Amino acid sequence: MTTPAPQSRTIWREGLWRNNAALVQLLGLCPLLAVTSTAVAGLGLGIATLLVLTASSVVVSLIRNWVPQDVRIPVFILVIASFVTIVELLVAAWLHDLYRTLGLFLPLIVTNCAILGRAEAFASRHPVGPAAIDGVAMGCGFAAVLVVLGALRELIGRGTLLAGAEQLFGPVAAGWTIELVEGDLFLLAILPPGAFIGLALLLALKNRLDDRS
Amino acid sequence: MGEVLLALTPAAAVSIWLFGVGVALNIATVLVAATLVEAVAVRARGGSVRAALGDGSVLVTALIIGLCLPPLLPWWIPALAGALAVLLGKQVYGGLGQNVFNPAIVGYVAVVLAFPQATGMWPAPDPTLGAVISNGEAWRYFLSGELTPLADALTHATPLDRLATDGLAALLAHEAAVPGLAATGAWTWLGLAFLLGGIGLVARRTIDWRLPSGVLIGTAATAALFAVVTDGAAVGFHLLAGATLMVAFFIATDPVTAPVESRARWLYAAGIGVVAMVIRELGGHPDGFAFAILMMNATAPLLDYWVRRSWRGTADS
Repeated sequence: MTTPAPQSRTIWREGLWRNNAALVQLLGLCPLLAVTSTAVAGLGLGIATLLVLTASSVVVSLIRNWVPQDVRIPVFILVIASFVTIVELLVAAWLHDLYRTLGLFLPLIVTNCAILGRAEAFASRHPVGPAAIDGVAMGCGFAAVLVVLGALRELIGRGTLLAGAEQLFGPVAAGWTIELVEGDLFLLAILPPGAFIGLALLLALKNRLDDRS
Repeated sequence: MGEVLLALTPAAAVSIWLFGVGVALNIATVLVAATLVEAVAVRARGGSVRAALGDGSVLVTALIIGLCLPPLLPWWIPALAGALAVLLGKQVYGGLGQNVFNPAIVGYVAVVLAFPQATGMWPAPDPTLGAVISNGEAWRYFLSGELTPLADALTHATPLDRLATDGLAALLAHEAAVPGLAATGAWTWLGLAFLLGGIGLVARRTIDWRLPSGVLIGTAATAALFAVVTDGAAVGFHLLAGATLMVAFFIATDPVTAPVESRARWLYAAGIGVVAMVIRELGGHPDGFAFAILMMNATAPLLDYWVRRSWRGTADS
């Protein structure tokens, strides 16, 4: 089952850019589109996904030689669901405002195909070290897209950046919000169609950059 | 495109007569923005700007958006509508003929969702409006976006607004208060102007008669059902109010975004009427035709596929 592990530099490049979970594999689109109405909400869900992805990649890699091929998917899902529950309880305890902003999308990380995809395609075929790096790299790549899309939509829709930063960083961050324009700007950007249009623009931009190089 | 433009003239004339200079300002602004964006986008894609602008589609789009939007708006709203119609409704799909959704409706819905307050503000349709909102005032609002208190007091609930917020009883009470006018009031003239142009297009066979008939049948049947089951507004009201006639003759008939097969066209057109009536009677938006068009546009290729598979060999030309 084990294929030779790639270099960690390759894993990082794949996770952050060349095989980015959101922009290339187009996995995990439901949370990506639904919670990115602000940069902070995107960052919160991005970090939660990063934690789950890393932890589940490590555990899946550790148990990879004992899981029978036929039942591997339910086993992986159980592992992922356990970590999602842990992360959900942690967020509910310490970042309760963020917990309420993210709502259903926190438990729904279980169904994020990006995580199961990495468990199946990478962690279950490689040793713990590379699997952990892959989890972190893929998670960072996904979180980066969430933050960029959230910032884009927040900026165009409301004319602010980092609104609600105190939900994630505590009372210190209450003054971090940058208000560029008073009142709402182009409201469509923070509505659901704005998510699709924003993601499409990011995809177009990435393809354009790849074509150039 | 030329005949469609000609057929839209009566409606444009009635609209300017009822609402004043603002309508003309809207159409002109949409046209300028759409033309600029079309030229830039076509050039960026390496096509011929002259061919793209010469097909007249931008003019039709501008006229339709200008007639959909309320007459008093700051200039950036019609400009954005025109720009987004061309960019998001047409050019991203590869230009005219490749677009899935009706470009004019994409632009219109984008600004309606983005600026719900400004685009929900309709003055009363009245030829004497010019005496109350002077052209100068319309110009100032157009350029600056600052509403004077006078114009603010003038905003008027359209018949569909009244139906959505206060229900049928308020609508009928208002009808009683305005003797001699149907519940749709002076809006009826606008509807009839669309009907006139539309019948001309059907007679010249520029548009397929099945599409407007389907929309009207779908609308009437659903309205009749609501009138009986949930005590909804009368069938005639729904046929004359809001965008019904405009959509039936000028938007559902767009050959690019409608299905090709005759049976699929019937289903598509009737579906527009049904969805729009459900939104009008049960939903929160006063009118549902723009959303109904976008939804049915998305199903058009599927309807063609399904009809061809179900009636293989019997499909007519």
